[in-house]
Amino acid sequence: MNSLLFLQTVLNALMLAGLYVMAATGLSLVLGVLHIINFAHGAFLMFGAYAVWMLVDKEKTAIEAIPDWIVGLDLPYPLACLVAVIAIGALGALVNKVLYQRFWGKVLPCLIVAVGLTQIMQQGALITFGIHTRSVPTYFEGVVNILGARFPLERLVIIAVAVVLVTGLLLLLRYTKAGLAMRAVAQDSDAAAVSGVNIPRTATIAMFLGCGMAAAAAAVIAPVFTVHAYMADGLLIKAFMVIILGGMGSITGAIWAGILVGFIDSFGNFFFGHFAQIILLVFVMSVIVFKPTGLFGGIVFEVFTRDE
Amino acid sequence: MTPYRSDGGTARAHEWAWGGAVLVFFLTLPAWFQQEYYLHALVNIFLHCIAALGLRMVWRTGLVSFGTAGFVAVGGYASGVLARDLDVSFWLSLPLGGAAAALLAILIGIPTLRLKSSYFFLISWAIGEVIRLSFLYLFRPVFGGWEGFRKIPPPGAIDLPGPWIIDFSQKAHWYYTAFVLLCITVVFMLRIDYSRVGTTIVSLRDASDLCESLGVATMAYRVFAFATACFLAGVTGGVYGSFNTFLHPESFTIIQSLETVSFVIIGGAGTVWGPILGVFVVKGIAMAVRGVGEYEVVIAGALMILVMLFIPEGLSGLPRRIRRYLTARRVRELAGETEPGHGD
Repeated sequence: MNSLLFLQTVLNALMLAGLYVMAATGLSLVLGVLHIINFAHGAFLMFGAYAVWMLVDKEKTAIEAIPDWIVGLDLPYPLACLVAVIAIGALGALVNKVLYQRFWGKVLPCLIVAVGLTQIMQQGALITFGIHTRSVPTYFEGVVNILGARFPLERLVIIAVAVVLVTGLLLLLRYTKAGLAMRAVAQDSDAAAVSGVNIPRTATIAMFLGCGMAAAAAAVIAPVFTVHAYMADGLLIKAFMVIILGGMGSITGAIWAGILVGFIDSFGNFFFGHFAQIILLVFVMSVIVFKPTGLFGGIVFEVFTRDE
Repeated sequence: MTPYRSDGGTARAHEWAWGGAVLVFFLTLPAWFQQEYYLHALVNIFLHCIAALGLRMVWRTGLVSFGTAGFVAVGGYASGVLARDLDVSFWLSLPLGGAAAALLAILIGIPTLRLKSSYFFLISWAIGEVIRLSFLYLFRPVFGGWEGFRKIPPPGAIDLPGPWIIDFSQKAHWYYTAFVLLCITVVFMLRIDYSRVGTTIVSLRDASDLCESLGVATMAYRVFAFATACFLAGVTGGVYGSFNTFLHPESFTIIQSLETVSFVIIGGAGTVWGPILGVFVVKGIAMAVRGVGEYEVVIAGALMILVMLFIPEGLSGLPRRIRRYLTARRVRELAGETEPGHGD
């Protein structure tokens, strides 16, 4: 493979890495703080994409279900992204309050509830928006020339947004009070409670951030890829693979693992085409069997080692 | 067999009567209810019941499998290849397809079933995806890839004593085949449930460390449960393939696996009837209420959440709940009459 193609593949890998890292860190945050598997993460992501689409696109008049005041809105893309992120984050917080909070720490009931939620959200989106894929018009138009390789600007934006958001998340976790609370609850929720941390509020914040992150990922995906009800299925399993490889509950692990999976995906696709997906899945399954704590030595939460 | 009840008694007369009535109802249904559409739907319902019963068995060991659809696919494609390309009789290719699925289950299960349920759900999901992608991209000349696997032959005709020939030209023939398979599965499950194997399996869910310390071969039971579940899923796939003469990988995604999970959760895994009830409730609502068809999955999801919130043991646990509530109320009434100051 010549150097130009190599560069192209690397850039693609970085884009995928950005995507996977964004999706996985949100999932990891919820996993760490709430100690549950948010199977609906993908559905939230998909909702985020549709939210952006609804706020931006002109075609939405075709759908009767959308209320008129939203049809009237014609936001510029960046503002639409912001609104979508906040809206989906709020939805996540609501879901936490109503559904997840009562199953505090019990993985299996939460998983089932999340599955039900996913079904409702996906089918609901399918019914509301129809089976046709939607697309969000490209905002960052143009192609960038990087050392000879041509790369669409909007894909570069994905990488940039991923870097900014994940850095922001890490800073938040490290230097803010809420971040400290989240880390405390993730490490030992009983000790955190005894130390005066407001657990339900911390959980809500974590869920808000997690789903907001998913929506942010969706917002930058929407112009690049198509938007439809099942768009997040593939992404969700990748996100789970990333957090497994990175060690369940570890944000930094998810970052490294996301980059790894992005590169495996991109180069694998180049060399093996579709089979790369199968190879990747088998690889991750092997890691689960032989090293469940992940490749990057993340924290393994008690929920996954003690008897349930 | 002495049918045991969960409260220790044997089955009462009225339960035999109910069971018998239901059996007669379904056995005679094609005679007086000849609409092809509903017979077709019932065949699919029976197949879902079989797969759900298999999943229930895995659930009772404490693990959740999101890979059912993959194993249905394995059974379907294996049985289909045997029947179409190797001219094997359906009645042989069907169990062989199930065996193929079970074999894969054992291969996958041995390294992975010792993991906690939180990991196993991901493994089962991943294997489901691997299977689907394999049928989509690998061995395209054999499996058909994107175009699907076509022209699966129907089973050969059976000559019954007397004038009847089951040649699978009518939906009713498929109906009876699926129903008989379901009955066999139900009887099998009932026997397992009340046997030593069954009680051991449940104890795996509740206290697996204790089991191990007592010398129970927990892995063997888990593998057995998983292999049985996948065998049943494979059989379902084999019948499905022959019934529709066509298979496509897109029919075997995580969505179908989750649908099966929803049947078990909604109906409840406590009894053998739970998953069957779950299938009928979900599919029944979709069929019975006009205009609701496309909302079927939404209803299933909503029911799952509601069941999880309010009746975690599933809808099949509802009669007992009601009985308990009524008994408690009666007790409170009686108590209220004898304690001063607690009047009204």
